Amino acid sequence: MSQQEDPKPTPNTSGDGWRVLSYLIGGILIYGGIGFGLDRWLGTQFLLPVGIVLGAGLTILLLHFRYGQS
Amino acid sequence: MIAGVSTEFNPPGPEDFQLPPIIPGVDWFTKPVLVAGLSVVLIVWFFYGASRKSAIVPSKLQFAGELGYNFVRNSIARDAIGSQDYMKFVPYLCGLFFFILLNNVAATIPLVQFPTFSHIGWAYSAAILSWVIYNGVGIRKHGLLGYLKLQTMPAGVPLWLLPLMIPIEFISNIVVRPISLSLRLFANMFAGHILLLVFVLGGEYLLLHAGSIALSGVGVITLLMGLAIAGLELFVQCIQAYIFVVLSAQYIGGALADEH
Amino acid sequence: MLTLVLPLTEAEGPSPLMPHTAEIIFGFVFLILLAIAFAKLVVPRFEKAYADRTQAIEGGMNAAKQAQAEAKAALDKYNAQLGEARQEAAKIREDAREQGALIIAEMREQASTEADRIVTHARTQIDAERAQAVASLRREVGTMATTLASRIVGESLEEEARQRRTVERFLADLESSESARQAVGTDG
Repeated sequence: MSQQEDPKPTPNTSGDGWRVLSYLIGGILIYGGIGFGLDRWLGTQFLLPVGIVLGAGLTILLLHFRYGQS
Repeated sequence: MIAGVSTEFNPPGPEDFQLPPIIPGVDWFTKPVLVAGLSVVLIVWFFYGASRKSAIVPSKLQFAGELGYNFVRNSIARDAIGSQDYMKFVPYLCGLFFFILLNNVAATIPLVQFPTFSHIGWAYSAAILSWVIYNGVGIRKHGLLGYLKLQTMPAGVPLWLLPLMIPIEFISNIVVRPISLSLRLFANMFAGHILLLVFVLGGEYLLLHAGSIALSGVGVITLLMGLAIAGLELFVQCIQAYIFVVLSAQYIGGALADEH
Repeated sequence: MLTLVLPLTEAEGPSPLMPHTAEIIFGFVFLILLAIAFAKLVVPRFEKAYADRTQAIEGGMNAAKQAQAEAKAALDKYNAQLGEARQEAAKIREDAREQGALIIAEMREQASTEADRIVTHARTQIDAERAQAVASLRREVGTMATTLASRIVGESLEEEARQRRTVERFLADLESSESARQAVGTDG
Protein backbone atom coordinates (compact mmCIF):
# COMPACT_ATOMS: atom_id res chain seq x y z
CA MET A 1 0.00 0.00 0.00
CA SER A 2 3.02 2.24 -0.21
CA GLN A 3 3.20 4.02 -3.51
CA GLN A 4 5.55 6.87 -2.92
CA GLU A 5 8.54 4.84 -4.02
CA ASP A 6 9.67 3.42 -7.36
CA PRO A 7 9.55 6.55 -9.51
CA LYS A 8 10.65 4.57 -12.56
CA PRO A 9 7.88 2.10 -13.36
CA THR A 10 8.29 -0.61 -15.91
CA PRO A 11 6.42 0.27 -19.10
CA ASN A 12 3.06 -1.38 -19.39
CA THR A 13 2.91 -3.48 -22.52
CA SER A 14 -0.60 -4.80 -22.04
CA GLY A 15 -2.02 -2.45 -24.68
CA ASP A 16 0.62 -3.03 -27.34
CA GLY A 17 -1.39 -5.68 -29.15
CA TRP A 18 -4.30 -3.32 -29.52
CA ARG A 19 -2.04 -0.54 -30.74
CA VAL A 20 -0.59 -2.85 -33.38
CA LEU A 21 -4.10 -3.68 -34.47
CA SER A 22 -4.96 -0.01 -34.71
CA TYR A 23 -1.88 0.56 -36.85
CA LEU A 24 -2.91 -2.26 -39.20
CA ILE A 25 -6.43 -0.92 -39.51
CA GLY A 26 -5.09 2.58 -40.08
CA GLY A 27 -2.61 1.50 -42.75
CA ILE A 28 -5.09 -0.60 -44.64
CA LEU A 29 -7.75 2.08 -44.33
CA ILE A 30 -5.64 4.93 -45.67
CA TYR A 31 -3.98 3.11 -48.57
CA GLY A 32 -7.06 1.09 -49.39
CA GLY A 33 -8.99 4.35 -49.38
CA ILE A 34 -6.47 5.98 -51.68
CA GLY A 35 -6.70 2.99 -54.01
CA PHE A 36 -10.50 3.09 -53.90
CA GLY A 37 -10.51 6.77 -54.76
CA LEU A 38 -8.07 6.32 -57.58
CA ASP A 39 -10.18 3.44 -58.97
CA ARG A 40 -13.21 5.71 -58.98
CA TRP A 41 -11.31 8.55 -60.56
CA LEU A 42 -9.45 6.56 -63.18
CA GLY A 43 -12.15 3.98 -63.80
CA THR A 44 -9.77 1.13 -62.95
CA GLN A 45 -10.41 -1.95 -60.87
CA PHE A 46 -7.09 -3.09 -59.45
CA LEU A 47 -5.96 -0.13 -57.32
CA LEU A 48 -8.10 -0.94 -54.27
CA PRO A 49 -6.51 -4.37 -53.63
CA VAL A 50 -3.08 -2.93 -54.43
CA GLY A 51 -3.71 -0.17 -51.92
CA ILE A 52 -4.82 -2.64 -49.25
CA VAL A 53 -1.77 -4.84 -49.72
CA LEU A 54 0.52 -1.79 -49.84
CA GLY A 55 -1.04 -0.41 -46.67
CA ALA A 56 -0.67 -3.71 -44.86
CA GLY A 57 2.91 -4.10 -46.04
CA LEU A 58 3.87 -0.57 -45.04
CA THR A 59 2.24 -0.97 -41.67
CA ILE A 60 4.18 -4.14 -41.00
CA LEU A 61 7.36 -2.32 -42.00
CA LEU A 62 6.42 0.52 -39.69
CA LEU A 63 5.77 -1.88 -36.83
CA HIS A 64 9.13 -3.47 -37.53
CA PHE A 65 10.87 -0.12 -37.19
CA ARG A 66 8.80 0.93 -34.26
CA TYR A 67 8.69 -2.13 -32.06
CA GLY A 68 11.06 -4.65 -33.65
CA GLN A 69 14.31 -2.92 -32.97
CA SER A 70 14.29 -2.27 -29.25
CA MET B 1 -40.71 -13.30 -25.17
CA ILE B 2 -41.83 -13.66 -28.73
CA ALA B 3 -41.49 -17.39 -28.35
CA GLY B 4 -44.38 -17.32 -25.89
CA VAL B 5 -46.73 -16.00 -28.54
CA SER B 6 -45.78 -17.82 -31.70
CA THR B 7 -44.43 -21.30 -31.79
CA GLU B 8 -41.71 -20.30 -34.20
CA PHE B 9 -38.30 -19.45 -32.72
CA ASN B 10 -37.24 -15.88 -33.31
CA PRO B 11 -33.45 -15.50 -33.07
CA PRO B 12 -32.38 -12.47 -31.01
CA GLY B 13 -31.01 -9.53 -32.95
CA PRO B 14 -30.31 -5.81 -32.72
CA GLU B 15 -34.00 -5.12 -32.22
CA ASP B 16 -33.68 -6.69 -28.75
CA PHE B 17 -31.57 -3.70 -27.78
CA GLN B 18 -34.35 -1.25 -28.58
CA LEU B 19 -35.81 -0.80 -25.14
CA PRO B 20 -38.92 1.25 -24.54
CA PRO B 21 -38.59 4.35 -22.38
CA ILE B 22 -39.15 3.62 -18.69
CA ILE B 23 -41.68 6.43 -18.41
CA PRO B 24 -43.84 6.51 -21.53
CA GLY B 25 -43.40 9.77 -23.37
CA VAL B 26 -39.98 10.58 -21.87
CA ASP B 27 -37.91 9.21 -24.72
CA TRP B 28 -34.49 9.93 -23.32
CA PHE B 29 -35.06 8.12 -20.03
CA THR B 30 -34.17 4.58 -21.04
CA LYS B 31 -32.86 1.65 -19.05
CA PRO B 32 -29.20 2.39 -19.87
CA VAL B 33 -29.61 5.95 -18.64
CA LEU B 34 -31.10 4.67 -15.39
CA VAL B 35 -28.40 2.04 -14.93
CA ALA B 36 -25.60 4.47 -15.76
CA GLY B 37 -27.02 7.07 -13.43
CA LEU B 38 -27.29 4.53 -10.62
CA SER B 39 -23.73 3.45 -11.28
CA VAL B 40 -22.54 7.04 -10.93
CA VAL B 41 -24.35 7.39 -7.62
CA LEU B 42 -22.98 4.05 -6.43
CA ILE B 43 -19.39 4.85 -7.39
CA VAL B 44 -19.42 8.28 -5.79
CA TRP B 45 -21.13 6.95 -2.68
CA PHE B 46 -18.70 4.08 -2.26
CA PHE B 47 -15.52 6.02 -2.86
CA TYR B 48 -16.69 8.98 -0.84
CA GLY B 49 -17.44 6.68 2.05
CA ALA B 50 -14.18 4.83 1.66
CA SER B 51 -11.98 7.90 1.45
CA ARG B 52 -13.85 10.17 3.83
CA LYS B 53 -11.75 9.46 6.91
CA SER B 54 -8.41 9.18 5.07
CA ALA B 55 -7.08 7.27 8.06
CA ILE B 56 -3.50 6.11 8.37
CA VAL B 57 -4.74 2.71 9.45
CA PRO B 58 -7.57 2.02 7.01
CA SER B 59 -10.89 0.49 7.89
CA LYS B 60 -12.14 -2.43 5.81
CA LEU B 61 -14.17 -0.07 3.64
CA GLN B 62 -11.26 2.30 3.13
CA PHE B 63 -8.99 -0.63 2.40
CA ALA B 64 -11.35 -1.85 -0.32
CA GLY B 65 -11.58 1.64 -1.77
CA GLU B 66 -7.83 2.01 -1.73
CA LEU B 67 -7.44 -1.33 -3.45
CA GLY B 68 -9.53 -0.17 -6.40
CA TYR B 69 -8.09 3.33 -6.40
CA ASN B 70 -4.52 2.02 -6.22
CA PHE B 71 -5.14 -0.33 -9.10
CA VAL B 72 -6.10 2.51 -11.44
CA ARG B 73 -3.60 4.94 -9.96
CA ASN B 74 -0.53 2.72 -10.02
CA SER B 75 -1.12 -0.15 -12.41
CA ILE B 76 -2.83 1.88 -15.09
CA ALA B 77 -2.11 5.60 -14.78
CA ARG B 78 1.42 5.63 -13.41
CA ASP B 79 2.69 2.79 -15.56
CA ALA B 80 1.30 4.25 -18.78
CA ILE B 81 1.77 7.99 -18.23
CA GLY B 82 4.89 8.04 -16.06
CA SER B 83 5.35 9.26 -12.53
CA GLN B 84 5.75 12.90 -13.53
CA ASP B 85 2.31 13.74 -14.90
CA TYR B 86 0.05 10.87 -14.02
CA MET B 87 -1.66 12.35 -10.96
CA LYS B 88 -3.53 14.90 -13.10
CA PHE B 89 -5.30 12.09 -14.97
CA VAL B 90 -6.05 9.79 -12.05
CA PRO B 91 -9.50 11.30 -11.39
CA TYR B 92 -10.63 10.92 -14.99
CA LEU B 93 -9.15 7.44 -15.38
CA CYS B 94 -10.66 6.31 -12.07
CA GLY B 95 -14.07 7.60 -13.02
CA LEU B 96 -13.79 6.07 -16.48
CA PHE B 97 -12.67 2.69 -15.20
CA PHE B 98 -15.27 2.28 -12.50
CA PHE B 99 -18.01 3.65 -14.72
CA ILE B 100 -17.28 1.17 -17.50
CA LEU B 101 -16.67 -1.66 -15.06
CA LEU B 102 -19.91 -1.18 -13.17
CA ASN B 103 -21.97 -0.74 -16.31
CA ASN B 104 -20.43 -3.81 -17.92
CA VAL B 105 -20.88 -5.96 -14.85
CA ALA B 106 -24.47 -4.70 -14.63
CA ALA B 107 -25.16 -7.01 -17.56
CA THR B 108 -24.57 -9.95 -15.24
CA ILE B 109 -26.44 -8.57 -12.25
CA PRO B 110 -29.96 -10.01 -12.02
CA LEU B 111 -32.82 -7.58 -12.73
CA VAL B 112 -30.45 -5.15 -14.45
CA GLN B 113 -28.99 -7.57 -16.96
CA PHE B 114 -28.36 -5.05 -19.64
CA PRO B 115 -24.92 -3.81 -20.68
CA THR B 116 -25.08 -0.03 -20.95
CA PHE B 117 -22.24 0.01 -23.46
CA SER B 118 -24.13 -2.19 -25.89
CA HIS B 119 -25.76 1.12 -26.77
CA ILE B 120 -22.96 2.64 -28.76
CA GLY B 121 -23.68 6.21 -27.70
CA TRP B 122 -22.04 5.53 -24.33
CA ALA B 123 -18.97 4.06 -25.95
CA TYR B 124 -18.76 7.01 -28.32
CA SER B 125 -18.89 9.56 -25.55
CA ALA B 126 -16.25 7.76 -23.48
CA ALA B 127 -13.96 7.40 -26.51
CA ILE B 128 -14.47 11.01 -27.61
CA LEU B 129 -13.68 12.22 -24.09
CA SER B 130 -10.45 10.22 -24.03
CA TRP B 131 -9.61 11.44 -27.54
CA VAL B 132 -10.15 15.07 -26.58
CA ILE B 133 -8.08 14.66 -23.46
CA TYR B 134 -5.05 12.98 -25.03
CA ASN B 135 -4.98 15.29 -28.02
CA GLY B 136 -5.61 18.30 -25.81
CA VAL B 137 -2.78 17.62 -23.38
CA GLY B 138 -0.48 16.73 -26.29
CA ILE B 139 -1.17 19.98 -28.12
CA ARG B 140 -0.87 21.95 -24.89
CA LYS B 141 2.51 20.44 -24.18
CA HIS B 142 4.11 20.38 -27.64
CA GLY B 143 2.10 22.94 -29.57
CA LEU B 144 -0.02 21.93 -32.54
CA LEU B 145 2.83 21.36 -34.97
CA GLY B 146 5.07 19.74 -32.41
CA TYR B 147 2.24 17.44 -31.42
CA LEU B 148 1.43 16.48 -35.01
CA LYS B 149 5.11 15.80 -35.60
CA LEU B 150 5.20 13.65 -32.48
CA GLN B 151 2.14 11.67 -33.50
CA THR B 152 2.94 11.27 -37.21
CA MET B 153 6.72 10.94 -37.47
CA PRO B 154 7.73 7.52 -36.24
CA ALA B 155 11.28 7.31 -34.95
CA GLY B 156 13.70 4.87 -36.52
CA VAL B 157 12.06 4.84 -39.96
CA PRO B 158 14.37 5.56 -42.92
CA LEU B 159 13.87 9.01 -44.40
CA TRP B 160 12.67 7.82 -47.81
CA LEU B 161 9.91 5.79 -46.19
CA LEU B 162 8.72 8.60 -43.99
CA PRO B 163 6.25 10.18 -46.47
CA LEU B 164 4.54 6.81 -46.82
CA MET B 165 4.44 6.27 -43.08
CA ILE B 166 3.08 9.65 -42.04
CA PRO B 167 -0.48 8.93 -43.30
CA ILE B 168 -0.53 5.59 -41.55
CA GLU B 169 0.62 7.15 -38.29
CA PHE B 170 -1.83 9.97 -38.58
CA ILE B 171 -4.79 7.74 -39.38
CA SER B 172 -4.00 5.18 -36.73
CA ASN B 173 -3.11 7.66 -34.00
CA ILE B 174 -5.72 10.33 -34.58
CA VAL B 175 -8.58 8.66 -36.43
CA VAL B 176 -8.60 4.93 -35.73
CA ARG B 177 -7.86 5.17 -32.04
CA PRO B 178 -11.18 6.63 -30.88
CA ILE B 179 -13.12 4.48 -33.32
CA SER B 180 -11.42 1.27 -32.26
CA LEU B 181 -11.69 2.29 -28.62
CA SER B 182 -15.45 2.74 -28.83
CA LEU B 183 -16.17 -0.10 -31.24
CA ARG B 184 -14.16 -2.62 -29.24
CA LEU B 185 -16.08 -1.88 -26.08
CA PHE B 186 -19.43 -1.67 -27.82
CA ALA B 187 -18.93 -4.81 -29.90
CA ASN B 188 -17.84 -6.89 -26.94
CA MET B 189 -20.84 -5.86 -24.90
CA PHE B 190 -23.23 -6.15 -27.81
CA ALA B 191 -21.99 -9.54 -28.95
CA GLY B 192 -21.79 -10.84 -25.40
CA HIS B 193 -25.36 -9.87 -24.75
CA ILE B 194 -26.59 -11.39 -28.02
CA LEU B 195 -24.68 -14.57 -27.25
CA LEU B 196 -26.31 -14.74 -23.87
CA LEU B 197 -29.74 -14.08 -25.39
CA VAL B 198 -29.22 -16.82 -27.95
CA PHE B 199 -28.42 -19.35 -25.28
CA VAL B 200 -31.05 -18.27 -22.81
CA LEU B 201 -33.91 -17.68 -25.26
CA GLY B 202 -32.96 -20.69 -27.37
CA GLY B 203 -32.71 -22.90 -24.29
CA GLU B 204 -36.05 -21.63 -23.05
CA TYR B 205 -37.67 -22.29 -26.44
CA LEU B 206 -36.23 -25.76 -26.67
CA LEU B 207 -37.27 -26.55 -23.10
CA LEU B 208 -40.82 -25.23 -23.22
CA HIS B 209 -42.01 -25.02 -26.82
CA ALA B 210 -40.17 -27.55 -28.95
CA GLY B 211 -42.64 -30.23 -27.91
CA SER B 212 -40.28 -33.15 -27.56
CA ILE B 213 -38.58 -34.56 -24.44
CA ALA B 214 -35.25 -34.96 -26.22
CA LEU B 215 -35.29 -31.37 -27.33
CA SER B 216 -36.24 -30.31 -23.81
CA GLY B 217 -33.12 -32.07 -22.56
CA VAL B 218 -31.06 -30.19 -25.12
CA GLY B 219 -32.75 -27.04 -23.85
CA VAL B 220 -31.53 -27.75 -20.31
CA ILE B 221 -28.00 -28.23 -21.61
CA THR B 222 -28.29 -25.01 -23.58
CA LEU B 223 -29.38 -23.11 -20.50
CA LEU B 224 -26.43 -24.54 -18.56
CA MET B 225 -24.17 -23.43 -21.41
CA GLY B 226 -25.76 -20.02 -21.09
CA LEU B 227 -24.69 -19.98 -17.44
CA ALA B 228 -21.12 -20.74 -18.47
CA ILE B 229 -21.32 -18.03 -21.12
CA ALA B 230 -22.49 -15.62 -18.46
CA GLY B 231 -19.38 -16.46 -16.43
CA LEU B 232 -17.19 -15.91 -19.46
CA GLU B 233 -18.98 -12.64 -20.14
CA LEU B 234 -18.27 -11.46 -16.60
CA PHE B 235 -14.60 -11.94 -17.35
CA VAL B 236 -14.86 -10.16 -20.71
CA GLN B 237 -16.74 -7.29 -19.08
CA CYS B 238 -13.94 -6.69 -16.62
CA ILE B 239 -11.22 -7.07 -19.26
CA GLN B 240 -12.91 -4.59 -21.57
CA ALA B 241 -13.15 -1.96 -18.85
CA TYR B 242 -9.47 -2.48 -18.14
CA ILE B 243 -8.46 -2.37 -21.84
CA PHE B 244 -10.38 0.83 -22.46
CA VAL B 245 -8.76 2.63 -19.56
CA VAL B 246 -5.26 1.25 -20.18
CA LEU B 247 -5.41 2.36 -23.79
CA SER B 248 -6.73 5.78 -22.82
CA ALA B 249 -3.88 6.13 -20.34
CA GLN B 250 -1.34 4.98 -22.93
CA TYR B 251 -2.63 7.46 -25.47
CA ILE B 252 -2.24 10.21 -22.88
CA GLY B 253 1.23 8.95 -22.04
CA GLY B 254 2.14 8.86 -25.72
CA ALA B 255 0.85 12.39 -26.27
CA LEU B 256 2.95 13.63 -23.35
CA ALA B 257 6.09 11.69 -24.31
CA ASP B 258 9.14 13.72 -25.20
CA GLU B 259 10.07 11.54 -28.11
CA HIS B 260 9.31 8.08 -29.33
CA MET C 1 -17.27 1.32 -43.97
CA LEU C 2 -19.03 -0.83 -41.42
CA THR C 3 -21.55 1.91 -40.87
CA LEU C 4 -22.32 1.88 -44.53
CA VAL C 5 -22.80 -1.87 -44.73
CA LEU C 6 -24.80 -2.67 -41.64
CA PRO C 7 -27.93 -0.56 -42.19
CA LEU C 8 -28.48 -2.35 -45.49
CA THR C 9 -28.68 -5.76 -43.83
CA GLU C 10 -30.79 -4.57 -40.92
CA ALA C 11 -33.73 -3.07 -42.63
CA GLU C 12 -36.13 -3.36 -39.69
CA GLY C 13 -34.66 -1.03 -37.05
CA PRO C 14 -32.00 1.61 -36.73
CA SER C 15 -28.42 0.35 -36.91
CA PRO C 16 -26.88 -0.48 -33.52
CA LEU C 17 -24.00 1.72 -34.61
CA MET C 18 -26.24 4.79 -34.66
CA PRO C 19 -26.12 6.37 -31.23
CA HIS C 20 -28.98 7.94 -29.33
CA THR C 21 -28.12 11.58 -28.89
CA ALA C 22 -29.42 11.54 -25.34
CA GLU C 23 -27.08 8.70 -24.43
CA ILE C 24 -24.02 10.47 -25.83
CA ILE C 25 -24.89 13.53 -23.78
CA PHE C 26 -25.49 11.45 -20.67
CA GLY C 27 -22.21 9.68 -21.29
CA PHE C 28 -20.34 12.97 -21.27
CA VAL C 29 -22.22 14.29 -18.28
CA PHE C 30 -21.76 11.16 -16.20
CA LEU C 31 -18.06 10.77 -17.01
CA ILE C 32 -17.27 14.41 -16.33
CA LEU C 33 -19.31 14.25 -13.14
CA LEU C 34 -17.35 11.19 -12.01
CA ALA C 35 -14.02 12.80 -12.87
CA ILE C 36 -14.94 15.88 -10.85
CA ALA C 37 -16.19 13.78 -7.95
CA PHE C 38 -12.95 11.81 -7.90
CA ALA C 39 -10.83 14.95 -8.23
CA LYS C 40 -12.64 16.80 -5.47
CA LEU C 41 -13.69 14.13 -3.05
CA VAL C 42 -11.71 10.97 -3.43
CA VAL C 43 -8.21 11.59 -4.74
CA PRO C 44 -7.18 14.30 -2.23
CA ARG C 45 -8.36 12.18 0.68
CA PHE C 46 -6.62 8.99 -0.42
CA GLU C 47 -3.47 10.93 -1.22
CA LYS C 48 -3.63 12.53 2.21
CA ALA C 49 -3.90 9.09 3.77
CA TYR C 50 -0.86 7.96 1.78
CA ALA C 51 1.13 11.05 2.73
CA ASP C 52 0.17 10.63 6.39
CA ARG C 53 1.17 7.01 6.24
CA THR C 54 4.56 7.83 4.76
CA GLN C 55 5.06 10.53 7.31
CA ALA C 56 4.06 8.21 10.11
CA ILE C 57 6.63 5.67 9.01
CA GLU C 58 9.33 8.30 8.56
CA GLY C 59 8.33 9.98 11.81
CA GLY C 60 8.59 6.65 13.62
CA MET C 61 12.06 6.15 12.21
CA ASN C 62 13.05 9.65 13.25
CA ALA C 63 11.67 9.07 16.72
CA ALA C 64 13.65 5.84 17.01
CA LYS C 65 16.79 7.65 15.86
CA GLN C 66 16.16 10.37 18.37
CA ALA C 67 15.56 7.88 21.14
CA GLN C 68 18.82 6.17 20.25
CA ALA C 69 20.67 9.49 20.34
CA GLU C 70 19.06 10.27 23.65
CA ALA C 71 20.04 6.92 25.06
CA LYS C 72 23.58 7.44 23.87
CA ALA C 73 23.68 10.89 25.41
CA ALA C 74 22.36 9.49 28.67
CA LEU C 75 25.00 6.77 28.61
CA ASP C 76 27.72 9.31 27.93
CA LYS C 77 26.47 11.49 30.70
CA TYR C 78 26.28 8.54 33.05
CA ASN C 79 29.81 7.51 32.14
CA ALA C 80 31.06 11.03 32.63
CA GLN C 81 29.34 11.23 35.96
CA LEU C 82 30.74 7.89 36.95
CA GLY C 83 34.26 9.05 36.09
CA GLU C 84 33.73 12.26 37.97
CA ALA C 85 32.43 10.39 40.97
CA ARG C 86 35.38 8.07 40.87
CA GLN C 87 37.74 10.99 40.69
CA GLU C 88 35.94 12.69 43.48
CA ALA C 89 36.05 9.58 45.59
CA ALA C 90 39.77 9.34 45.02
CA LYS C 91 40.13 12.98 45.95
CA ILE C 92 38.05 12.52 49.05
CA ARG C 93 40.10 9.55 50.04
CA GLU C 94 43.27 11.52 49.49
CA ASP C 95 41.88 14.40 51.48
CA ALA C 96 40.84 12.11 54.25
CA ARG C 97 44.27 10.59 54.34
CA GLU C 98 45.86 13.99 54.50
CA GLN C 99 43.44 15.21 57.05
CA GLY C 100 43.90 12.09 59.10
CA ALA C 101 47.63 12.59 59.04
CA LEU C 102 47.16 16.19 60.00
CA ILE C 103 44.84 15.26 62.84
CA ILE C 104 47.23 12.66 64.10
CA ALA C 105 50.08 15.15 63.97
CA GLU C 106 47.99 17.72 65.70
CA MET C 107 46.92 15.26 68.36
CA ARG C 108 50.43 14.19 68.83
CA GLU C 109 51.54 17.75 69.24
CA GLN C 110 48.68 18.45 71.57
CA ALA C 111 49.48 15.37 73.58
CA SER C 112 53.09 16.30 73.87
CA THR C 113 52.17 19.85 74.86
CA GLU C 114 49.81 18.49 77.41
CA ALA C 115 52.43 16.13 78.66
CA ASP C 116 54.89 18.99 78.94
CA ARG C 117 52.35 21.00 80.68
CA ILE C 118 51.63 18.21 83.13
CA VAL C 119 55.32 17.65 83.76
CA THR C 120 55.88 21.36 84.31
CA HIS C 121 52.96 21.53 86.63
CA ALA C 122 54.11 18.55 88.55
CA ARG C 123 57.57 19.94 88.79
CA THR C 124 56.28 23.30 90.07
CA GLN C 125 54.20 21.50 92.60
CA ILE C 126 57.09 19.40 93.67
CA ASP C 127 59.23 22.49 93.99
CA ALA C 128 56.62 24.22 96.04
CA GLU C 129 56.19 21.24 98.25
CA ARG C 130 59.88 20.91 98.68
CA ALA C 131 60.17 24.58 99.49
CA GLN C 132 57.49 24.12 102.05
CA ALA C 133 59.21 21.06 103.37
CA VAL C 134 62.49 22.91 103.48
CA ALA C 135 60.88 25.75 105.35
CA SER C 136 59.25 23.51 107.89
CA LEU C 137 62.39 21.45 108.14
CA ARG C 138 64.42 24.53 108.66
CA ARG C 139 62.15 25.54 111.44
CA GLU C 140 62.22 22.20 113.01
CA VAL C 141 65.94 21.80 112.57
CA GLY C 142 66.41 25.21 114.16
CA THR C 143 64.32 24.24 117.10
CA MET C 144 65.96 20.91 117.32
CA ALA C 145 69.44 22.41 117.04
CA THR C 146 68.63 24.96 119.63
CA THR C 147 67.23 22.36 121.87
CA LEU C 148 70.23 20.18 121.24
CA ALA C 149 72.68 22.96 121.73
CA SER C 150 70.93 23.97 124.93
CA ARG C 151 71.17 20.54 126.10
CA ILE C 152 74.82 20.38 125.27
CA VAL C 153 75.84 23.90 126.25
CA GLY C 154 73.28 24.37 128.97
CA GLU C 155 71.33 27.50 129.67
CA SER C 156 74.03 29.88 128.24
CA LEU C 157 72.36 30.01 124.93
CA GLU C 158 69.06 31.08 126.25
CA GLU C 159 69.76 34.58 125.68
CA GLU C 160 67.72 35.51 122.75
CA ALA C 161 70.19 37.56 120.77
CA ARG C 162 72.78 35.03 120.90
CA GLN C 163 70.48 32.25 120.12
CA ARG C 164 69.16 33.89 116.96
CA ARG C 165 72.66 34.61 115.70
CA THR C 166 73.78 31.15 116.17
CA VAL C 167 70.79 29.65 114.46
CA GLU C 168 71.07 31.95 111.52
CA ARG C 169 74.71 31.19 111.00
CA PHE C 170 73.96 27.56 111.11
CA LEU C 171 71.14 27.86 108.60
CA ALA C 172 73.19 29.94 106.20
CA ASP C 173 75.79 27.26 106.23
CA LEU C 174 73.20 24.64 105.79
CA GLU C 175 71.56 26.53 102.91
CA SER C 176 74.71 27.11 100.95
CA SER C 177 75.64 23.50 101.18
CA GLU C 178 72.07 22.54 100.38
CA SER C 179 71.81 24.68 97.22
CA ALA C 180 75.16 23.43 95.98
CA ARG C 181 73.99 19.90 96.45
CA GLN C 182 70.63 20.60 94.78
CA ALA C 183 72.31 22.12 91.71
CA VAL C 184 74.37 19.04 91.33
CA GLY C 185 71.21 16.85 91.82
CA THR C 186 69.02 18.52 89.16
CA ASP C 187 71.75 18.48 86.60
CA GLY C 188 72.22 14.89 87.15
